[in-house]
Amino acid sequence: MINVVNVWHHYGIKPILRDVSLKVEPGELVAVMGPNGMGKSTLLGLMAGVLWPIKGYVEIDGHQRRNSVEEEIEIRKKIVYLPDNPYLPLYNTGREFLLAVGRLYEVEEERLMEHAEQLVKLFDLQENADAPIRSYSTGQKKKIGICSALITKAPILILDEPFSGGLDSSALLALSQILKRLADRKDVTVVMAVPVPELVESLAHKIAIIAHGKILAYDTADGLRRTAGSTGDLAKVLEALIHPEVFKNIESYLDGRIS
Amino acid sequence: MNRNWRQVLPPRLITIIFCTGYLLTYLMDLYIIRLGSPVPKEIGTIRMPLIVVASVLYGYYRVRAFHPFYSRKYREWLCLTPWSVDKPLPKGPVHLIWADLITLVPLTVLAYFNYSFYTCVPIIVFLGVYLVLTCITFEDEQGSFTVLLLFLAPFTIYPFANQYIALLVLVLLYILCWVSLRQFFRGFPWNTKYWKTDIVKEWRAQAIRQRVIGWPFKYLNVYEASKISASEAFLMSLLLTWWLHVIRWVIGESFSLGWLVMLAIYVALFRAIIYAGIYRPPISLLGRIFTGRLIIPSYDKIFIAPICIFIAGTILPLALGHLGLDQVWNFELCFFLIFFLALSLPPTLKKWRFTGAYRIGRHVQSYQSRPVSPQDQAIATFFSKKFKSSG
Repeated sequence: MINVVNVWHHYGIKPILRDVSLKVEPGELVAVMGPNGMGKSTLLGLMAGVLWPIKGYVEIDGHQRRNSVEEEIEIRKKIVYLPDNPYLPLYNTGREFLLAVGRLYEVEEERLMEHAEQLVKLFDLQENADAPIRSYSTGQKKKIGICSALITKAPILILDEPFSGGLDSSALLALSQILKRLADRKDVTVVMAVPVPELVESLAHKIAIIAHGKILAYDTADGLRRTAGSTGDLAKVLEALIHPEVFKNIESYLDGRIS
Repeated sequence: MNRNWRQVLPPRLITIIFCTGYLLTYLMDLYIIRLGSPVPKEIGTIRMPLIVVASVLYGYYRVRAFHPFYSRKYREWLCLTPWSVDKPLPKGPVHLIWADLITLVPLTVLAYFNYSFYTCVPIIVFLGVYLVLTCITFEDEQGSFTVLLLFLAPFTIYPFANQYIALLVLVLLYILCWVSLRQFFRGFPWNTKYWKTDIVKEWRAQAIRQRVIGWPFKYLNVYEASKISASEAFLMSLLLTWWLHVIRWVIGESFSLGWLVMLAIYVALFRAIIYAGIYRPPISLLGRIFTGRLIIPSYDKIFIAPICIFIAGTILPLALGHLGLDQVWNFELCFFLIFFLALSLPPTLKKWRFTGAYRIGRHVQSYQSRPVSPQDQAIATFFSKKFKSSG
């Protein structure tokens, strides 16, 4: 379980997160959505342990982050964080990178080789798996980054915009199906930042909408519809919650153009 | 015995090269004499370095060629055999035997005929190299010998600078080394680092060295280097100060306090960079100023140690000087304190990495980005073709 408790954060002067609290139950898949620059990645960074909250704290499975060496070690064994721009060793092959990350998380060696091969096949990287990563395209780099998170078999995945960054349609399908299957089996807890609502509804158990440093809503897709008083697709629900005036603005803009 | 003396003889090629080189110096003497000129002293002085180099090489050979630590294949094979400490090592003994005199005595005799003042130098050099290389192989159980070696080694030159005393110290150290060597081989292979190696830790270290893993895995993993305890910090600082004391004695003049200031600045900076280089403050400087949180205790505590180090190298020596403490003692006391504070003041690096109030800097997150060059693209094409052709 991930428990974010009354967290405040700011890098400089402007607060990025203001008194944010969020609870993610084990086996849940939660999508964090919201406009750009509103604190999605910061919230994920705090959960991942990359950032330190100015106020409040984050708990993972009952252990507070960075509270003691022992607790932090326990947390780090369970959690994998995939930032939007992860490090990739440009002079090593994709397979070498996957094996190194798997070993870091102490995945059994026999299983590791097999798993790496499966992931490479799944994300259509067979032809490049043994080539240096520097020769990969942007989309292929994104794919190998995703594979590195999946190969760890960590029970908690923190994924920052996993669907963006040039993924092709087959990779989008593969990733969404894997996440859906994991979510259905309640094997892993996933928190991911997703800017586009189309992929979210079929995947996420819950959606957290974040804007201006606060959680505006945190519920299931149906729950959000009820809150927004809208029955349309999720994109409209989100707009109604985040920018209630956006539809009015669109109408007035179009009226002005037509007249 | 017969088998042993042949085993420990230096390699034939090295022996031939040394003998040829040495004889050449005499041939040069003869040639110059035939020309009717007096032999310059410089030719004679070439011989002593040759003898010293030969002694170094022999010391190196005696450990590198026979110690299982230095040969992976030999070690791995030995691990599979029923070898025990009571049996002779198949390749030859690591400890010194009488047959070593076959090499050392001629070197000593040559040294005596060249410079009788330096008769013991070949044996001193040989023992020095032998002890250092053997010491490297020792495990934690033999750690006390390593410490002893580092503390006693300066007595070879300090305070008498006498070759016989140096030889006596080295012989004493060799006796201690022999005991440690027996202890080491008694535990072979089960209690040795190559048998107990933590494979995952090795992989991780290798992956970090080769930059296979990086952001975020490198900084959010569970493996950390072991911490330095207060007693270890004390011992290390004491050792450094002791060596400094001997070096000062050898040079024959005391260091000025300006050196201490420089040292304190470098050590303080080094410690600050280790702690704050990657692990940045949770909010920026502007953020601190505008939010009024000029000091963030949970983060800024890492700067206490550098400040203390700086004080130990600047204000403290002046204060001690005013109190009338001798300059040499003043320098050495402050030198000791600088290192002791740097190594022992909290938080430990391990604790800081796991529990510090930091954020990992953006530079760490984005330094690897680089566009794909045409050369890289060509490599990718080559590999993909190779992959296809291999099926």
